[in-house]
Amino acid sequence: MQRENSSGSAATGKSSGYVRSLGRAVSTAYYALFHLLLYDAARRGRERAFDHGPMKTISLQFRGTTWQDWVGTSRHVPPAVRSVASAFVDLQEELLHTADYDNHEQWIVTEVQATLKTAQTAFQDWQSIRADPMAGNYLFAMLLRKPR
Amino acid sequence: MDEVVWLASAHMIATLPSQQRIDEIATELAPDVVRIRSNVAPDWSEHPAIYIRVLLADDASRGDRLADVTGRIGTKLFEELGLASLDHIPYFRFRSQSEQARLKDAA
Repeated sequence: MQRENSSGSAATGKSSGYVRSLGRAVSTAYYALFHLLLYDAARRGRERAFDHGPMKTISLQFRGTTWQDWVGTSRHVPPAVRSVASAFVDLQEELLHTADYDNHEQWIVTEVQATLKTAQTAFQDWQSIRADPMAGNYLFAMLLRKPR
Repeated sequence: MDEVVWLASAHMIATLPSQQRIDEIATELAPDVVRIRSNVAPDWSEHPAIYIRVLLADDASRGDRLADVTGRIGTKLFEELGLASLDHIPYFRFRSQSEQARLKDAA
């Protein structure tokens, strides 16, 4: 995906330092959510062995309306958990695909703002749902990452 | 012709959205939305993905409106294009008309 580059400064007219700061904003947003989930996993004694790929795989399962639990029963996933799981997938793609792998360091201000809003909403949703058993299942599934 | 996608879990066929259907939704979302384009490509982990690029009117991309606008657009596209039933992961990308124009000037 083509991005705004520092010489073009689309929508900003700002310095290359400003443009780089947009990339750092996306990175910070993703890792904030990443560590939020790790923090809650650690509080439950489940902090080890989390990494990006398996977390994405599990998040894809939890962004649907139902999730098949450990014994094969289909369970309803609350909207707030779905929102967090969806945000995790989206932020990860934004960072790992288009930021870390984009040597041109191109950024679009509007897109970065939308990404930051996604992260903010995910934090709010997680605060509202973190005590729910399905939130615990989400964290636990990321730890086990058992093939489904 | 729409690309056909097999969903192994449900043994049913879901189709990737046609540009015609996307254009119809873009029209319904005017004047906030100028146009919507999509392309299919693997994401960072090589999972099949559909990237939906939304060109916003400058007024719709104002800071005080952006969150509401992108939320409304994302929800409508997700529901009306049946994105939840696709094997492809949908990713939404937004930019404003003025950003797009400057990118063209710089090219």
